[in-house]
Amino acid sequence: MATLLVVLMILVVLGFVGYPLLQGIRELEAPALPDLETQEAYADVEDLELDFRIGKLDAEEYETLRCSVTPEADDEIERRVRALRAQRKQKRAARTEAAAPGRCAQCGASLDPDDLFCSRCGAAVSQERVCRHCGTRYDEGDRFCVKCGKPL
Amino acid sequence: MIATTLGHWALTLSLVISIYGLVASVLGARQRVPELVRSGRNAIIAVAGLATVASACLLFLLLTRNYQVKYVYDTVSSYLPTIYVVSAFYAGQEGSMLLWMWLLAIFGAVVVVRKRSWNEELLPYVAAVVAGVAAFFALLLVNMSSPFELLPMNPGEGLGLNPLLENPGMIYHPPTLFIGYAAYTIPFAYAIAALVTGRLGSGWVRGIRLWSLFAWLSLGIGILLGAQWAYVELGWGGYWAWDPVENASAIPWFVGTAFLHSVMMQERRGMFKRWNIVLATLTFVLCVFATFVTRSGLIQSVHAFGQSPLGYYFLAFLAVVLGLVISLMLYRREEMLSTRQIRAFLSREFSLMVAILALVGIALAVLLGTLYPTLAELLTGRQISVGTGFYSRIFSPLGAAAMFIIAVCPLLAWGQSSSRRVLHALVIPALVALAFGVALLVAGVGPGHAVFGFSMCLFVLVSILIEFGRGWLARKRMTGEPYAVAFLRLVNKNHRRYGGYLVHLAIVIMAAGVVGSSVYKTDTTLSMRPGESVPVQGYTLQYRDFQIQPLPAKQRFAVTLDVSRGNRYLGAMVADKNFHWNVEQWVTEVAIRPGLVEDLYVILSGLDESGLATLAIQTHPMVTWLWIGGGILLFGTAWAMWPRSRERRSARRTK
Repeated sequence: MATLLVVLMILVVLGFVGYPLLQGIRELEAPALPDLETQEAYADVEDLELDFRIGKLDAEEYETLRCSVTPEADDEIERRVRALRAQRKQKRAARTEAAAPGRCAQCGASLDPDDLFCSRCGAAVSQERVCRHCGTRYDEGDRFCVKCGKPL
Repeated sequence: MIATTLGHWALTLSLVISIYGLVASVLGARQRVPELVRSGRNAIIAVAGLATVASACLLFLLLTRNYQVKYVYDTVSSYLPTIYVVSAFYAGQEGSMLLWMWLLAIFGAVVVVRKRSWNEELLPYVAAVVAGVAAFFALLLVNMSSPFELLPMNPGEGLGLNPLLENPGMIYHPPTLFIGYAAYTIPFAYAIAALVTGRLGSGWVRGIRLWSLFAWLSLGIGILLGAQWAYVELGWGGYWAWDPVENASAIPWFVGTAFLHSVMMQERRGMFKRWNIVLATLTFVLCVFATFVTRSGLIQSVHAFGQSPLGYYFLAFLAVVLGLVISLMLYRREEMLSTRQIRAFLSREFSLMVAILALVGIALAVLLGTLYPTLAELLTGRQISVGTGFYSRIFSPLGAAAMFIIAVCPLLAWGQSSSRRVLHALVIPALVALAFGVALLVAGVGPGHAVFGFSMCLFVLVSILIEFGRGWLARKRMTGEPYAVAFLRLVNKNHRRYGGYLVHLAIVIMAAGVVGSSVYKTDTTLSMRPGESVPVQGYTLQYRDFQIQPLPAKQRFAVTLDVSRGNRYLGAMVADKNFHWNVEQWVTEVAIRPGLVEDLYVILSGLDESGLATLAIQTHPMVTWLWIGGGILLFGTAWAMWPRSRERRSARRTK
């Protein structure tokens, strides 16, 4: 009984340890270094900021330290802000495109002037009166757009 | 016997597998063979499993009280309560080493399983070091102190645990310490990995942040639990007696504290790279040293060296570790240069450096005092003892210096601070402390050094509170949040800073407790007859009755006293003194009435048939402050370890 258990234990352990050798693994993935430096730089800036607010540093000291100590953080923050701005721009562009005159605000499919629902996604079409050529609003009863002159 | 065979083979196999794990990890990482690295990783997990099997076997043998196993015979008896049978697991040298190895293997497995992208390159070497240390312990367990050794026949009854160990302290104190000791292997393993790979930047420091905090906390709480245990068991000289076994656990704690602070220097400033390697190594080595000291009696007498080869194994291990670290450090000496220098005296860098030096200084002094008698005996052949006087002379000035730094360091900014601003910030704490000190002296409270100690504590306390307050008000001003919200958000946004301050607060409270309890202790010895009433130190003790009673394990002698203060009845206290049959030894169970101001502490020294009792009535002021400080320490460290929401989010993202 004891021998059986010992043999079983040895087999299980050898199997577990030896398995990767038989299995074959693809080349080690290149270590993706995350934004470790960024996080540290952030912590630096946060600390400085708090020290400044608390009054441990005056404005001048704060500025010198802020510049000398954390150029990495500044670069990083700037990069992030730029990335975020670009992202926002893209999103806005996508939204304006989707909301273009004569198109469904939901999916961007083209609409007929008197459609109440989108023929592609089924979204309710806004009841607001907007020129389908240029997007200018018009009042009830108007027959031509006041901006582009095209028939409504 | 199935359990002994299985346990023995599990240990033998874990020796083989951990050596394999060491070789496979190193080879795999050097030759870039992912299969080998993975196999080495699995080896660590397998060792954890094997150590668990071995531990389970030992526990089973203890619980079934199988006296044919020598270890069980030595530590368990039939009338030992079950909970202490479990604690007998680590009552002896063999079991302690098994516990060490088991914890180490579990921690190692946690590290290799929870891999993060930034430690991919370090990890094989971390695994290798863990495997190497596990192999060392497995070698000792298999080769020379096996917990599964059998006696030629079954004696039918065991010797049992030393009755001094039959205390709740035995259940909590050793395992907590061992968790700390074993966990300190992980920072050491990362240090070696950083040296080998040359990635000495902040990556490895990041890998060990939580581990070093966790190890430090376990060690600290373990030491406090030990102090509490020593306090309630008589004959161990209060909560701290500077005996070698206590010192052995305190030394790595001091070095570990220095390490926590120097890690911060590297993380935030890219400095102290060499210090970090040295301190990580020292802490680890001292932890192993502490284990050996406690369980082998090496320090009490040099003769222990001759009696068992354990000491030589330990010295060989020490030589290998230090040789490895020193040669790697020489090899990487260029990479370990700091990217920045300390620019000003009034900077957080400089004050941290002083703090680190003070802590290492304290550790070295305690180490010296602990080793000195042994070394002196070895060299001169005479027995010398180092008394409490040595330690208090060393400890008081260094402790006061450390307290001063605790007050000043958080006020300083990284880089540099203007002296005007720092002085300005120190004015209020200094005035409060000065006023308090003068008030104490005027009120006739002495002596001078105690008043200085209390004032110092108050100075630090006020400066920490002001630091909290300034952050709070700044946040309130910045955000306009209500006071409560501003406070919670402030401490929640900066776990490490405010967790650290809480720990400092805990240290101050404990320091005040140490000053109070060591200076104002009183001790009165008196004899009483049943029914008698005696005033002592403002209390009135009324002798109610006594008991002399034979029990299966011991002869019990007990005295019940009614205690009152003025007209107020405080309750009954029962002081015991028992004679244990198995070890033929007296064990005193002290009666303690704890209080914030002072503990009333009653020791029964003697009791005769007529009921004439000899009692030692002591008051121990402010001892409770130590335990309160311990609670705050636990909370503060846990707070500092708790990941911030941003870290939690990024952890989720990387998954």
